[in-house]
Amino acid sequence: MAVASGLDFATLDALLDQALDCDDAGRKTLLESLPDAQASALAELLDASGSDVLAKLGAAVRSTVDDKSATPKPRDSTRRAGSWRLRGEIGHGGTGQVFLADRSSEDPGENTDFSQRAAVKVLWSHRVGSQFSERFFRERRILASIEHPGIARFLDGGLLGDNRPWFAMEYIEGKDIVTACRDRSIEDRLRLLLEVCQTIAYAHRRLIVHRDIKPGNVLVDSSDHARVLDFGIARILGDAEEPALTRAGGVPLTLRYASPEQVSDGPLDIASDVYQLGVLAYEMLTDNRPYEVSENSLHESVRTIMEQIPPLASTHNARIKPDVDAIVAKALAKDPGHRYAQATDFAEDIRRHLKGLPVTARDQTSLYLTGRFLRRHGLLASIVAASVIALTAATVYSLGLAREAREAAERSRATLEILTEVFAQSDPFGEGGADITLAEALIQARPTINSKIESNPRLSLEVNEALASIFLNLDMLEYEVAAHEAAWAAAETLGAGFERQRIVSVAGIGNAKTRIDPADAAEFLRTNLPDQPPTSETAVAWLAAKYAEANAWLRLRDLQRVDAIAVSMSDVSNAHDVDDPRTLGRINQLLAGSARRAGDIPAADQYWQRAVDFMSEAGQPAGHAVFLSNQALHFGKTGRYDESERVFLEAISLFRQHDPKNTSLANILRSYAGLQFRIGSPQAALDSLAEALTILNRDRDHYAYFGAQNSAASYAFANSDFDASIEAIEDGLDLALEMFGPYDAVTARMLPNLARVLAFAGDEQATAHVLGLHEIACAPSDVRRAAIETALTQQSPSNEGREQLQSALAIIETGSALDLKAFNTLVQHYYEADDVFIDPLDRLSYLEALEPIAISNGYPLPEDINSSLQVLRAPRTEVAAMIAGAWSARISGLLTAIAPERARVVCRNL
Amino acid sequence: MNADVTVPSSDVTRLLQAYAAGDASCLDDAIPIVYDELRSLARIQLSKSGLDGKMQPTMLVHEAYEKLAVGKPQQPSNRRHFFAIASRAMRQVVVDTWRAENTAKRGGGASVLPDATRELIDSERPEDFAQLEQALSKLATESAELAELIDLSCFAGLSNEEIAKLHGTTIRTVQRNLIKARAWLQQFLGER
Repeated sequence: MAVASGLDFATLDALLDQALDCDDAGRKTLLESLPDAQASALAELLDASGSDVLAKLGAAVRSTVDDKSATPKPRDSTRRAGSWRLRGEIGHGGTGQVFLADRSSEDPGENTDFSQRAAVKVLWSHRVGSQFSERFFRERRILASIEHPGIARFLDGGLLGDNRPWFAMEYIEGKDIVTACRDRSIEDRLRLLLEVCQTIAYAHRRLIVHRDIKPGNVLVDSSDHARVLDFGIARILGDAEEPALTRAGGVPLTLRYASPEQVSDGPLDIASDVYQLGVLAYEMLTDNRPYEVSENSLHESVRTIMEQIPPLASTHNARIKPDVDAIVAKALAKDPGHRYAQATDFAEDIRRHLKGLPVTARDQTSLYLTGRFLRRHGLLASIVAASVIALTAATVYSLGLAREAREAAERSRATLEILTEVFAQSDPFGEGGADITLAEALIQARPTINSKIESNPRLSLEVNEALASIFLNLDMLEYEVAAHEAAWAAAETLGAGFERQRIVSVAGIGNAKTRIDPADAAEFLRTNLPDQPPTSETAVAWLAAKYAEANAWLRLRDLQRVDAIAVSMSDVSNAHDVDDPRTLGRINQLLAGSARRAGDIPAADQYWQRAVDFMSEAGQPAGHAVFLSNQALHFGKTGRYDESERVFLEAISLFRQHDPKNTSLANILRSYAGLQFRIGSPQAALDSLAEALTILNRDRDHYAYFGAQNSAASYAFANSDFDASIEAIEDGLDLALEMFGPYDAVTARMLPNLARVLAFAGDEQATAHVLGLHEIACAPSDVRRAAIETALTQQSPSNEGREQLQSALAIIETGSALDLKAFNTLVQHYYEADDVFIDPLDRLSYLEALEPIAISNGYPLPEDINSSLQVLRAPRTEVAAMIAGAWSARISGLLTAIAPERARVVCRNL
Repeated sequence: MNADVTVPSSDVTRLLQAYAAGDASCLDDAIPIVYDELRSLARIQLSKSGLDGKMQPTMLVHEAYEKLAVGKPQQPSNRRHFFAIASRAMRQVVVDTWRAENTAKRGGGASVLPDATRELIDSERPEDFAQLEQALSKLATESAELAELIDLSCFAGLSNEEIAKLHGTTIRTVQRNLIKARAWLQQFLGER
């Protein structure tokens, strides 16, 4: 290629890029604008870009790697196996080749009574040693003793001269069972499946397991019966010896049909065969695989087999009945203990189904068990309550409403049925029935639920509202948002008459989002709520949504907006004569806050008293107690500690009386501890916190638990109990890093305490480090600088990388203009310095540092950087979750390696 | 390469680290080790032939990675470098196999050339693989990035998604670069 006149690689490559960016017309224009030589070279390249050279190359590589030539093939000289003469290859697969063979007359041997024709399978493997033949000869009589019409008889076997094992078995002409099932009815397929199960059950009774049940090993013969081949890798049950035949001998494991035990080195017994029968059944019935096993990654395959729950068979074929779904699902249970105990039980259930009898698989996943499961999680109660309310409505109101009430009851029933069904599928009930959490069951069930309700918006609204409240209780915020969003969409589709549901959904989304990201929540509510409730009927819902918005702004400390919302809520409640005590309580609470901020303490006192009275009237002790504690805080903030303590104690006793395990009680205790600490009794404060921590569940009540530990650390520190302080910090920080990652406001709250203890212990370096983390965690605008600093101190980039980073830092700090060359160096560094940017947030920070420079100077950012930026920016929490693991380890390392020991030593010496 | 010398896997890690730190000569040291490992894995895999007779280069490379690069927690860059090396080693394995086939053919031995390879030869007419190798090395001198992409995609059989992940770019970028790689390789094959 000429290296002159713009025909060099770089120029043409750049032109090629440009041309690939254009549509056809643009490409034409581009070509026309170029000098002839360049244009024709580019045209040639564009032509070549459509070639299939890479596809062919890839195929050639695969077939080279796949080429069987790497293993010895039977040569002409080895056209015999024992007394069998190999006539021709009739097939080959992963395990070996299969030959049609007949018995040579000159070598009758001892088994002359066997049929004269056979299929001889020669395994590829030549890696079997003497163990093989020893074992083989010990077992072949047993193998030969299995006589069953459903089993292709084992005839003979041995080793070829080159040590490859071979087996001779009865030759059967037929199609593999999945192919044979394609044009049959479900009932016919079940009959064939029943035969296979009975055959396998027969072998099991002779203590022989198959281990490699798959379509290729089950044929349907000319007389329409299923025949199982290849009992060659079976081993005798109860033989504790390492199964040389199946492991060291390298007899294959067909991964696609492998059971979870097979890929996890569990015991291979009857249960494994039952699972493989389940896979076979699934394919016979649906002509689909229960899951796709990746051919590229062993890790992935193993995970799929161990974890992926297949969709119900009926999702592929609507004619498959729920009973059959249940049968197949039971055979395919990941846990052997949940499968059919015996192949014969599997067979029995198919037989029962064919006769129209109830099946045992259904028993296990029946309404009874489902009901038990739902009841255990309080779900049934809420759904039933919905039905009961609907029915009560029918009696209270006139007959004109009866139809509507009936429909509502109908929907509740449908909701219950759907949830029952999906839970049944996800099989959350084992023998003990406690293995799966409601959360897991729900996550598994979500796609199924959605597919069942998407065509019916009324039902979708109902189900998703129910789901949202469940997710709320489970603290699964993202899922809760998704359920509210689905309900919102359904209400939107339903149109007029569903305004209230729309507002309720919006409020639900807002409340959940407030806990994820208050700024997002506030903005969402501000833009999606109407200025006024559309009707008087929607006033209460609207006020609840506005209250959610006020809470979001409150989190953001945008108090002006909170005050404005309080006023508008008050106006709306007056205009619509709202008399719901809870709503009025909330409005007074907001007004009280406004008044206190305005410095009007008497007014604030009055509003608080009203708020508390309304909550008491609302008849919800928990809400009442929470308001009392807020009132107590109000007294505390205005310096009236005695009043504050009195009201706190009232709130606490109200809770202890009604709901001693409530998380809110823990929160109140924590607030009370704050007061106790302030009035000079740190030990009493620590006692209150200790009580709070016994109420909280570390795995569930993250925020509250974290907060309580944070307070405990502070008070213990102030109380000179450094051991307790460090212990609390360690526990809280571990939890925070685990849950939120290092770049989170919650984490940020714990770090200064740690820094304080470290500083006290005289460890300047660790203190600085922790303060650096704190800076990253709490100041998003400074993140980029801090992250680059972290990159400098934490990693060990090459000297060059270090220089570049430092210059990047200088540029960011001085905000100086940058020439294109320097800018490109920085871009280049991004590509080269993978080491430095292990943490996504470091990477993001670096890119975010580049971006404004690019924009202000008009330099282009490469396309992949732009998209990386998008990906990295996406949900911050996700990024935090991604890096939490790595950071958690680092921080705990730091804590255990440096801080506590030194801190403790120093503290004790003081 | 010396078949008698077995290099412990920690050495590979060391080589990878040195390579990552900028010592390009380590690449040349690492390739024979990876090459041997790939060959022996291929043999084991073929005899086990776990996946229904399907033997994918990707699997070989992934397994080689698991085997050679385990131990210390891996730096992501090690993984990337490893795949760069492994895909080149894979190319060598494949090209060597082809060359052996070719020699066998010329020497009158039975041709066991796989169909797809034969087809490639027939349609693209590289008389021997020297031509393909030449085209690839020419591309490598012009753009190491595109040549590596061909190694990863064709010889190691990685999916575009895997490559994107490995390189921290987008699938679209990978697709785009593959189009370019295709154009240039075809161009260089055509020139000669």
